[in-house]
Amino acid sequence: MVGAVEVVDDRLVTVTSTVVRSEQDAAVELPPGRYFARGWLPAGPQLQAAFEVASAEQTVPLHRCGEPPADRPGAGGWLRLWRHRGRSWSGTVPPELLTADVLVLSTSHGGSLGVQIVDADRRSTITMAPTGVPLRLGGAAGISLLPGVEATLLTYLDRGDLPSARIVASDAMSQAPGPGEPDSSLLDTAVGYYLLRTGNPRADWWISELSWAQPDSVDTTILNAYRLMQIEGMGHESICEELVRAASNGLPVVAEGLRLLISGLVRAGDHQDAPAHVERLRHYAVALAQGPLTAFPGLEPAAPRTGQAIWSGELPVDVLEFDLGAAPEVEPEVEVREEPSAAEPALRAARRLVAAALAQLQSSGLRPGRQRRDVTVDGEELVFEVTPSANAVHFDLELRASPLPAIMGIVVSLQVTAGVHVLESFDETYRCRFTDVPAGAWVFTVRQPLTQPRLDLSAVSLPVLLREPAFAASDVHHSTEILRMVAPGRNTLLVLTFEPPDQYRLEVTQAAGVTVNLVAVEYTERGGATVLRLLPLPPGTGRASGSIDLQDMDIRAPWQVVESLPPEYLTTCSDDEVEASIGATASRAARMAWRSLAGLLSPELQALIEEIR
Amino acid sequence: MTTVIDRGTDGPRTHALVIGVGLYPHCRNDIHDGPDAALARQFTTLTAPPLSALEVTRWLLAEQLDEETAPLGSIELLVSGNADQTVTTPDGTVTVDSPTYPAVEAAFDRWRSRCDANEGNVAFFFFSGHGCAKGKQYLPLEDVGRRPGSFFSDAIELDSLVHGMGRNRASVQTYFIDACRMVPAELLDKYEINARSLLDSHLVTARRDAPVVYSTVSGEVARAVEGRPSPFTEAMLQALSGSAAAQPNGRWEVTTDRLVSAINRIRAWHGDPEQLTEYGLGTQVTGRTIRRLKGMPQVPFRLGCNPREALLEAQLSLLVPFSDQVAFERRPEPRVWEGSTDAQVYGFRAAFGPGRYVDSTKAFPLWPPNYECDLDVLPHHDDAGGLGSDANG
Repeated sequence: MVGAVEVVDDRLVTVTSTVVRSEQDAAVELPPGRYFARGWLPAGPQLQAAFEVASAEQTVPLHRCGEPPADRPGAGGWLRLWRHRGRSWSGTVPPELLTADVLVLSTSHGGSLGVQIVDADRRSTITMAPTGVPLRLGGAAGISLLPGVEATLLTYLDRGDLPSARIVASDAMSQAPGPGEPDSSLLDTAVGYYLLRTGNPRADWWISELSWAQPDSVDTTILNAYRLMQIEGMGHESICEELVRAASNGLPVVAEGLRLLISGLVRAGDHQDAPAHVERLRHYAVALAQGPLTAFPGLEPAAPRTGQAIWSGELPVDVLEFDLGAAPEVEPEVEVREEPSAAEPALRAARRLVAAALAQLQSSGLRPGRQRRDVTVDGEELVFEVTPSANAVHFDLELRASPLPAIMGIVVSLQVTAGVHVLESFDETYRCRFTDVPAGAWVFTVRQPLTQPRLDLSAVSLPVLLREPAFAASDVHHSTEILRMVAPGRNTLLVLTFEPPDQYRLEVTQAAGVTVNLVAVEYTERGGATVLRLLPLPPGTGRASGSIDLQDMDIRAPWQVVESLPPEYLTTCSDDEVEASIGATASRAARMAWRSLAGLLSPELQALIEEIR
Repeated sequence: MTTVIDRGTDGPRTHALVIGVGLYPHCRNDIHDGPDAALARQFTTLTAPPLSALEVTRWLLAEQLDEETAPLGSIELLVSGNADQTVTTPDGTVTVDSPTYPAVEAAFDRWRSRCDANEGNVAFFFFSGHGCAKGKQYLPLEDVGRRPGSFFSDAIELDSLVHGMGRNRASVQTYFIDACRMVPAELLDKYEINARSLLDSHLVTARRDAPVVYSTVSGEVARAVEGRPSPFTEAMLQALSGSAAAQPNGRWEVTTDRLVSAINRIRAWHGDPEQLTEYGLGTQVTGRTIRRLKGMPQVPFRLGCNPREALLEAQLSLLVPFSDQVAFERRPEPRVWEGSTDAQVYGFRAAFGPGRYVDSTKAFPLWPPNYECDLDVLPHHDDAGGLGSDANG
């Protein structure tokens, strides 16, 4: 990212400005004092810093506030290069991609070049492409400039942020005092547009030099025509000829250039071919997409469309197919499900808030990179932050609500792959955090608690299946894993398996404690009754695990678990509950753990423990 | 009467031409047929334009009358609509004319002549009403559709007006256009638009500072709320009042190059980030000063705490710069603190008393156009060895 920043003193008087780049220091000289820096990145987020300068050199980090709007990359498609030759466009073989989604057009191409992108949905977009700068495939416009000084300056100009454009253009001019340096053609052009727009006295010289350096460029020709318009006594003929020459040579790379060209030709009146060019070009003006580059829907550069242009023909031979299939791995897709609820009104409202916030998130989507979304539902706010790991294949997620006591304890289930869920709940600071979540197609579910739970608020609501699992005939004699869940805090792994013909078994694994740990499971039977089962896990130094059969479980009904209860909890349970739990024990380790708890139980239950194998 | 005020042409002055078209009496269904009828249906009665034009006029009379750079010289105002068409001026109440083409033409000629009287003048043009674009921008006046077969003969062609003004001596010319910039292309394709130019356009024009500020980007509609001035007008006046100001030389000045970015940020602040304002092309925006503020601009702020739940316990204060003196304060509430005050550096303090959080203070610049900040606060840690109650204050 590249952005422009202004620095003010403690009276808010502007003292300096600078261009900043991600991960790079920008040097400014300031006398000792207190200062504040502020700028806006081209995509919208603000940069801020407050700092005090002593005598020594120091580095001040800028903080970014807000996130740019997400741009969801397409999955793939094909691209074709178009070159303007004389009076028409012809297809030409595009160069190889630099990476999976980056293209650089050689400066040797010269003339006007268009890149046609036909995406996976066969939508065709044509973008007039600059040479010598990396272009990213994907996004709404088909291709876009990668973040850099050219993209920043053109975007500031496009958005009318002239103070920021001034900072970037001044910096560019200080580093290359004149146009014509190798690989700087787009930046030179962008500076030309800036100088023209702001009536800068250097515009005349800069654009003259640009005309020598880029004689075939449509942008340069347009700039030169407008330069001539500002010269007192300049003949009408010379200006019109320059405008007509620009219109005859293809299309400008910069969208502003296209609008200037049309406006200039309109003012040229009946000069030569000007009216015909106006008639032709105004179709582009209507079709023009938002953004700094000239881009429009179309199946070929000569025929812009105002709506979508859908490619219906065969795959042409002179195209380059590309696949952005890697993108979805770092592009979590969000789906939200809300289960029906019979909870208290405040809790229902809180659950609705979370579900609605997640639904809004779903509609806007996520993109790779750190991001923050602020969602407001019925006046309540919920902030969603996503932080990718360095390699962008894992993410940390945080949901943060405004103070709302009812939200505490609400469990959000994040399904990361089929059957694998990570569960987290809102804590007493109204936050719900997921850490180290792998990229993938995410499905959030706001978990529903039991109607009349036996267990208290520390219980974690677990995912339910929307329908009974159906298994192939060959599986009828084999247990099948159907859910794998990581409980909040990531201390407990829960695996639910289907045991033919109609049984479910839960395996619980967690770090072993110094004493027996009781895990409590509360679920709904097919008849509608809620039952409690206890699973003791033995002490030890490594992992402890145990299994319990959840007899007659309704897999579509709410269920929940308490990960850790002291052995003394047994004394609060009825004998029937303990007896059923002992009978449901399905692993040797759990049976051993029951034996160590026998001293807390009645003689009848002790006898039962001795009977289990 | 369209001349609301005329204070002469001595010295640099701001001369304004303000037009708000709310009624289109010739755009009724029953008087057109064929494509004209379809086009006429586009130009419905509007409530916002007259209110916007009147609001702009009131602002000029209140804020620009004795402004230092270019005090108000004159206002030509033409308004039509269901709203009151009277304006109170220092010389009394004036009832203004409707913006028919002849009335606008006459007012324009007076405005242009006054602007041309001094190189230091600021020409101020404001239009609010329907609009459409087909290569050029057109501004239909009240009598558009009056002549069957020449639907747009009573519309202004803006581009030639702006370029024609290139030979006017006013070195700063501001054009604020609060109008749509599209009409369905299939409709306009049926038309050769014969709108009228108020001035001959020239290809060669002198350098001047002439921002054309559109309320919406090319090809888009301009949004408004019925019965109140348009959001663009409100943001524009806020920008001119000081939200577009900076202090390059120790004085708060509004410059032409900050108008669009300020208006866009104001609209985003009010929850309208998608409706973008932009400069028109083909004229220069050199960044000349059009207003010097007598005091400090007002800056809207939103202040909160991170985490947000700390707001329930936080006594928030704005401290006088570099002191502990409280300028403003707010009792604990779950919502962020919204307000507006003079642009300067403040201390922002969140105090919790014996609450769950540690008091926190930081200096911040209240800097136009607006400011939003969440103060990071830390929870108390009773086991942290007696952490004080004022961690970084």
